[in-house]
Amino acid sequence: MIDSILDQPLSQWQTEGTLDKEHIVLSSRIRLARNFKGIAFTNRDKEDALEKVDTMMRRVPSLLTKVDGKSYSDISLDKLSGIEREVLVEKHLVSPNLVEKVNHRSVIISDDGAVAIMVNEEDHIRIQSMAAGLNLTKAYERAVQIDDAIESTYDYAFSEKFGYLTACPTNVGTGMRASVMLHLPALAITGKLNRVVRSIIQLGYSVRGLYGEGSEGLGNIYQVSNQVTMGISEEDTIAQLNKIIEGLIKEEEKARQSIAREHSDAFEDRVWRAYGVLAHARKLSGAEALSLLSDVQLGIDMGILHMKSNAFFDKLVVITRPNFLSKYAGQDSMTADERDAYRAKVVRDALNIEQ
Amino acid sequence: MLCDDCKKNEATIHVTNIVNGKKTESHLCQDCANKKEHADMFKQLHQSFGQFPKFSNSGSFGQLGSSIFDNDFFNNDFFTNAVYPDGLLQDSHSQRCDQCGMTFDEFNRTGKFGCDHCYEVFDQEITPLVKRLQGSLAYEGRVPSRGTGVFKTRHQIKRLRQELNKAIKGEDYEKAITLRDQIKQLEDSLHKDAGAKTDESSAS
Repeated sequence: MIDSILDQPLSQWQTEGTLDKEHIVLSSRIRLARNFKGIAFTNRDKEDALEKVDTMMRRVPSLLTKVDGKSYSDISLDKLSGIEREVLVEKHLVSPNLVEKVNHRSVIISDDGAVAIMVNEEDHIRIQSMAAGLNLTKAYERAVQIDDAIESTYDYAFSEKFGYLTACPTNVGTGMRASVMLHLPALAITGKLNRVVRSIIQLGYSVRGLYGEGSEGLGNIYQVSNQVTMGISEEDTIAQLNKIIEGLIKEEEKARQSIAREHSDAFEDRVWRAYGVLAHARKLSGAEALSLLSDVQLGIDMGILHMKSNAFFDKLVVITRPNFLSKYAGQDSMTADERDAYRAKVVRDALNIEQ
Repeated sequence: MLCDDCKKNEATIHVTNIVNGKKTESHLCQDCANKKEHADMFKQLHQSFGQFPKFSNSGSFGQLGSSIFDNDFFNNDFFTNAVYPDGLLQDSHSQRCDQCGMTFDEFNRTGKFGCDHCYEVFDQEITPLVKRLQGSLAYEGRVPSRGTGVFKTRHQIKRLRQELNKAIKGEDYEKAITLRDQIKQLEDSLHKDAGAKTDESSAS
């Protein structure tokens, strides 16, 4: 199964799920940070503690299968190549933080790819559950099912006062981070994004780029997530975030309508130019590809362009990432130049199939 | 006047900055001003939120403005030794967690606790910190099903009471009656538990 995870740009949950027609919300994600009672946290870097957690988690795949009938595989990071580890990061299955070290680090992934449990990251385990479109509740319910299954076998570090105890005090309490990934091209084009982002931040939620801090604006993809984990229950956090996202979707829709109303000629030109470059360029950098793909996807959403598959954008966002691309090409080492040429070819081929 | 940045469009936005008595002027077009604002905003955002959990970069809780953790007075060895010649400071700052060996100074440097027991050992320091970071100290949320039976029941009662208030406000009296009965049942079970424990202790 690990091969299909590393070779396929999208997991089953992404292709099966109900993507919204306008394609504004790409995915929803829940992350629960958990530690075990009486064992030093990962940052203490104690061999016996790391090993203990590693060994405990080896039992978990079969435990989870008993609960939900799905199969889970256990992937030790030290068995993967450097590129393979980076592909897991590019697919958002593990954090960049997890792959910094490999000893006793692993990830347990469900066969549909919707669940990925990181072992020995900043906390002993981080349960991640994903769902297509805006569906935090679905993701949360699956995360809870897994949380319960693990808790039925092992004792968590929990205090009545602080809730779930985590390595970093910014996660203590529920240990939950709920986040939604959105494509917001029209807000970016109309220059309204700054104002909208600022108001979300004022509400105590964070806004980051596709790959976290420092990747803002890349492909006009943004992640909105909660900051606070204390004093508010998981359900209430999700309900609040849902409201914020619904507001954000309305703003993006309004921006799209205003583009269609006031700048339709200029916008149509922009979409076809982006399409022209993607369809004919012989070299594409990763950032350029994402920016043009974003224009093309907005063109599709607004009825200017037509593609066969619904997940065209999501798929190419992953395929055009440097490490996935190298893996796709079957080459361990590619120069940046070779990669740009190969990226242009892959995008051209994908567009040919779609038309 | 043309825009300072792109040198193509007419500058429509004029900004005068005075930093340390030095005056700088910039003239930008709407596009470049938007770009700049966007970049500045994310820079600020990272300063206030993004960098926030990564204490390792800042070395201490400096930006969080804590007088307990970030005090030059304590970081200066000369003064430390002069004022606390007998290593009295160790009591408050160098106490070790007996489970993982972490000291609070170490936490201050890395921003990460060493194990679950640290939360008990450094409770005094952690409590105000969590309050400041999270804005609250009243835990709400899931409770593990094992080992904390009484706590879980108390928690459930709290949640049901909130629902009861909502039901009454919404004039949904049927639901309110069901909730009231549920709460009563849970409270009875708590009392029974407490009673059983008292019986045990008085018997022994």
